[in-house]
Amino acid sequence: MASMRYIASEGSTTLRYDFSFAWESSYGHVVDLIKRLGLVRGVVIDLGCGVGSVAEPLRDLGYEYVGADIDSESLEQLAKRGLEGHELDLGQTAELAERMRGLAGGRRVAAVLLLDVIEHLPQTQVFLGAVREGLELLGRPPLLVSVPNVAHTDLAAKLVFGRWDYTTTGLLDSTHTQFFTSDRLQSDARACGLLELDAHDFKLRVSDQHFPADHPGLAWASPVAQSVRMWREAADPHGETIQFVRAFAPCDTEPARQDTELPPAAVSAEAPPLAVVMRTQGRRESHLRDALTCLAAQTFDNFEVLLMVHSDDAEPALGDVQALVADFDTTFASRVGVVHVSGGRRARPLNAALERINAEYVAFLDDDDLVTADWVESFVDASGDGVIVRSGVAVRHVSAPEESHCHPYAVQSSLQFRYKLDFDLLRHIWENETPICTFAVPHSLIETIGLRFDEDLPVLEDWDFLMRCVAFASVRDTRKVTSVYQVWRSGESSASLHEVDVWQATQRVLQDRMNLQPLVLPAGSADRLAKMCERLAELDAIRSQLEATRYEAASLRNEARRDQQIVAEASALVGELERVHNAYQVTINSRRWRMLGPPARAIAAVRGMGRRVRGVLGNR
Amino acid sequence: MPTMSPDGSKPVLRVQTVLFDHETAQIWRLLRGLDAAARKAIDAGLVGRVEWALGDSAANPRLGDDDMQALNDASSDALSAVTYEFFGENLGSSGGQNRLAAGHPSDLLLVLNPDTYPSPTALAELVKALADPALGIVEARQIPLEHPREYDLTTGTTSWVSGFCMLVRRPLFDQLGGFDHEHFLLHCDDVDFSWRARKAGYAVAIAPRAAVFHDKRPTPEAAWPVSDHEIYHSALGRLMLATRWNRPDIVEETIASVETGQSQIQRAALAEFRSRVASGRVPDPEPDPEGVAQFIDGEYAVHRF
Repeated sequence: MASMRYIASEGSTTLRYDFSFAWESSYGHVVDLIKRLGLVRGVVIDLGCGVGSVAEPLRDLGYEYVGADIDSESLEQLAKRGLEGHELDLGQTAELAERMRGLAGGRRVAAVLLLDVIEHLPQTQVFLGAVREGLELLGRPPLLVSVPNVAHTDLAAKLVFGRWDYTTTGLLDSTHTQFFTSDRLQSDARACGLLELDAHDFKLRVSDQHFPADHPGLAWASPVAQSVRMWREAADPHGETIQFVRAFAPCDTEPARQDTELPPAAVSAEAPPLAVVMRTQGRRESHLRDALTCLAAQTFDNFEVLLMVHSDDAEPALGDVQALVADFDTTFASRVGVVHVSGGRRARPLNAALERINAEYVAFLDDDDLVTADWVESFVDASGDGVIVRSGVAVRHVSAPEESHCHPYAVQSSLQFRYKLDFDLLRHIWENETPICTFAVPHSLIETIGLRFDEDLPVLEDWDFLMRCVAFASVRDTRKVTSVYQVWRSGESSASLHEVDVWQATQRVLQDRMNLQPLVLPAGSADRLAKMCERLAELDAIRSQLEATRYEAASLRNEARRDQQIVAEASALVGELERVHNAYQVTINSRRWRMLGPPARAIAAVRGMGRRVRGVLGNR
Repeated sequence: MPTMSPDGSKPVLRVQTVLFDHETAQIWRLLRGLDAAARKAIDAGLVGRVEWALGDSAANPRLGDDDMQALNDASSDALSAVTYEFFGENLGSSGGQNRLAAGHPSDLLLVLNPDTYPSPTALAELVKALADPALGIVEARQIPLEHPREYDLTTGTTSWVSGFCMLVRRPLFDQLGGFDHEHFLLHCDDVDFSWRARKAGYAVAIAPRAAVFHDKRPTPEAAWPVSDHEIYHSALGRLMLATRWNRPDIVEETIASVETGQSQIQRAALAEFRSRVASGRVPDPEPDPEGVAQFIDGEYAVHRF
């Protein structure tokens, strides 16, 4: 089957029909994958081989290449290169298994290849089922498949704008009859008894569909294009995948079923409306019991609890926690699953739980926080339509006990309602106002979008997770206070374990991270932003007035300082005058003066001094 | 052991809950929690038997025979008996508790609100706390909201203990004649009961390791929400309490506060008080030379916050 391939060359990525082999291409990745799998030497059967671009590299690796194609010209090319080729119509699925056995001719088969084949065939599962039968006859060698990705970001961006451009080659080659995402490829393969062994997908940021380059969905600087890329990257790791290059092993499970052509249900029918993920280190028995007691007392009990015990040693923490749970009434205890998680930071147990969730919504609770009886009911009542549900929270300060104390922890403050009941996205860009115990996220964000907590963060992992969630879903507030978030003034908690500078540094990192992405705001945000700008303008005006007043005050201070200097100078002159006057008195009263001095001269000198003083004071 | 029966057997714990139009779901919730907590206390060897008596002060019975059968079927053998008595009159919580206790001897008596759910270790911790012979009554720690009353961080002793969940030695309960139902229908009955126990020579304490969920739901307007009903009985109770504990200054202060305030509910309570004074239905002043009664900033104990 004639095929196209992608080649990256000379530092840039280009697309062309070129049957020559390049390592940095989808075919190069196929050969790499075969090397990585360490297959036994033998025959590699290339079904729909075209001109057999991987033939020589495989031969160089020690494999015996056997090509099969319906196209006689391709087979002639193979023959000219000294390669074995056979005519084969892949549309004849009823005969395919036997034909595959014939191609092997009794030789040991190392692998079977399907490169750029299945997208050209109308009935994928029928074809793969036939191939699977052939693999059985050949002793179950692995099957390597290469197929274009229909969910490349370029295609997604154009489809947003209603464009679906068939081309003669490439991702939307007009001869393609089937289109594949990663999930579909895996699903169809599983349905035919093929289990994915390994993957070595070929990626290119710019595909052949990146045209016209100045299209708003594609232009790099366009906010729309940036948003589409952000969403696509969040959904799965295949936004830049051009070609899925996968290896499958024949297996006995899941025989081919036609119903698997339909997408799987989001959650199973019997899934509860809510799952609660609780994390504990198993070191604070009383706190954990209190939190579980709050959950056991819920007014709505159709929910499950995943209690994640995060400790490096499974024993004794796990056993203690299991025993603590078993103390509860069985109707509650039976709904609590206890799971041990080791390693990682604070987010590790949360992500481990998310892999196990089967519920319409997920809420989170730490073992040192408490909830009211309607915590679950409020979440469930407000759930639906894919929204994130958010409840109000009260904050209080607590401290750990001293050794002689009879309490497990001491409450040190009344309840404080520092966080607003209504979610404000703009305020959340600045700081978190939604502690982890106050929101529930829909299953779609976990399963479909694949959102997870960032395990690299030392703190604030809940804020980061929420902000990434709100990029995909709106927030619905219950406007009820249903949890008590406890801030520790002493004892071991995230607040006390991590220094303030770690919190501040992490906050800065997350703000920078948000700043790198386009920001999509819900309707109504423009008004909020306008009001904030108006308020800022008012504050700027007040600041300007303050500056002016400060300048005026400084001027007055300088003037006063000058006055003080003048007064000091005048005082000094008065002092001098007094000294002269005293000297005059002494002199005129002295016998010598009476005898020799001209009194008129001294009087004139004193009068002159007095004028100087008056002159200085008169300038003030 | 805090108390042992005369024959040396383990104590019998009687749990009493008075209903007043509470939802059946609350009763079921309490049954589940109480059953598990009873199991834990029995397994720990702290009590020999736990029985649960429900009383109903409402106009119409909440539970029928089928309900009682279902409750008994659902409970384990940790709860030896679940009984229900429809009073046919509103005895309030205090009168209901006295009625339920009458004729039903036990070693320990747990007064428990219907809107609660004991943690699995709550009963065991309460019984352990009452092992201190100096204590007459112990109260559980409320979650998720905690009462701000100050208590000794080492011993747990405090001014008074709340009837939402209090464990009392049965001989002391009988000695005090139970709650003063005649003067305290709903509020301050526990304060008065605590102070009479202290006057009798016992300390009262909070047992912080005994956590009991109390279905209180805060709002930004009120961290500790109260109903109109509670406002009424709180005001009336305060006036009766100050009268009982011989504090005419507090009575006058409270009356002045109500008269200058805006609450019509409190004024209705004041009118009721005056009516009772006129008809002699207020308690006789109790001498309090030891000064057990504390009237501090409108409360009955020092508050931590």
